[in-house]
Amino acid sequence: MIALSEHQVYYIANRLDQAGIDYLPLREELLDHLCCMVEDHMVDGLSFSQATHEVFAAFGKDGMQKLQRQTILQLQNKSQLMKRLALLVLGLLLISFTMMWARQQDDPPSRRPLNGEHVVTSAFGQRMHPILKKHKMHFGVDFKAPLGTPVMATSDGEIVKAEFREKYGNMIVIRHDDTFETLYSQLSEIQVKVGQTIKKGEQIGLVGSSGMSTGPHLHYEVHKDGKAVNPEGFFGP
Amino acid sequence: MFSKELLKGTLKTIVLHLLEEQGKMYGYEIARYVRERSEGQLELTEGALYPTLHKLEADGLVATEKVQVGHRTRKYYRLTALGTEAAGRKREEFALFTATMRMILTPKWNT
Repeated sequence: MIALSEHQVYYIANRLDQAGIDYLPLREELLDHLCCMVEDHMVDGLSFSQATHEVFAAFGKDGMQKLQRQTILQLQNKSQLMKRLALLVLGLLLISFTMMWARQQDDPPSRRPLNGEHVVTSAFGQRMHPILKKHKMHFGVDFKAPLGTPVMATSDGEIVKAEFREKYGNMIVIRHDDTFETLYSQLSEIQVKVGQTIKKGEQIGLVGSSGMSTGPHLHYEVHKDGKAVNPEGFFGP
Repeated sequence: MFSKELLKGTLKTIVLHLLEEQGKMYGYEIARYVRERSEGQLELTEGALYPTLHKLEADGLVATEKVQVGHRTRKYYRLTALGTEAAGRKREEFALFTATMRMILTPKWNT
């Protein structure tokens, strides 16, 4: 009966580390196994170094790594793997839904604020102001429409302003999301209150001429990230 | 030597049976015992034996115990109640399987 010395066991343990065996529940057991093999070889008459060489050669270059991989893999049974897969799929779904939701949230207001065809009496951009008779930037679009024509929200949102201003007259501002706000002014009547949530297409007021105006029309503005942009760029077909 | 496939299907049966028969054994002992008892016909590789032992432990069929032997630790395996039950079931299943195989493989004479 041969029993390896502390130094000899330590040497084999070192070789195990070099082979990359770091899964502890296996490492300890494999060390005992290799020591037994070496001892058996020594009983057969081999020296310690011969026996060790023999044992490690028997495993081959990556035989131990393979053993370690298989041992770990064996423990991850199918249901665990399936659970992980399901979790991964769920995660991906959640991410794509969030992205879709975010995109929908930041959809530009594509609906027209008035039903039917209406003449644009003043487009977005530089223009001669009809009352002030000066070149001024026009931050929205003016639609000519009969007094009392219903005005509709151009996208889902929340009413953040519903008040009278000297130039704008009766005006409403809807915040749609973090990106877009729309403004409706010159109204003869405001039919919503601040804080109210509103759906796309819902009636919010009536066309009028309540501010600095020459006749009944809707002045409509779109603000993207706080800056006025041309509303006509967003209207759908 | 038998094919890997054949051994794969029977390794659990062998280990469970030996542990029931011998009480407690460690990995190297199981491999050596199988080699000797099969007169060298059956060689359990480490790559097959240890993954199986760890799987049996994770499934609660075997319990383990560590003993300090010389300058190293030895891990002994023994059956749990669940393991004893499984050993009996596996043996019966295998007996039925070999009987069935014999029925199929025995030449059939037309009389």
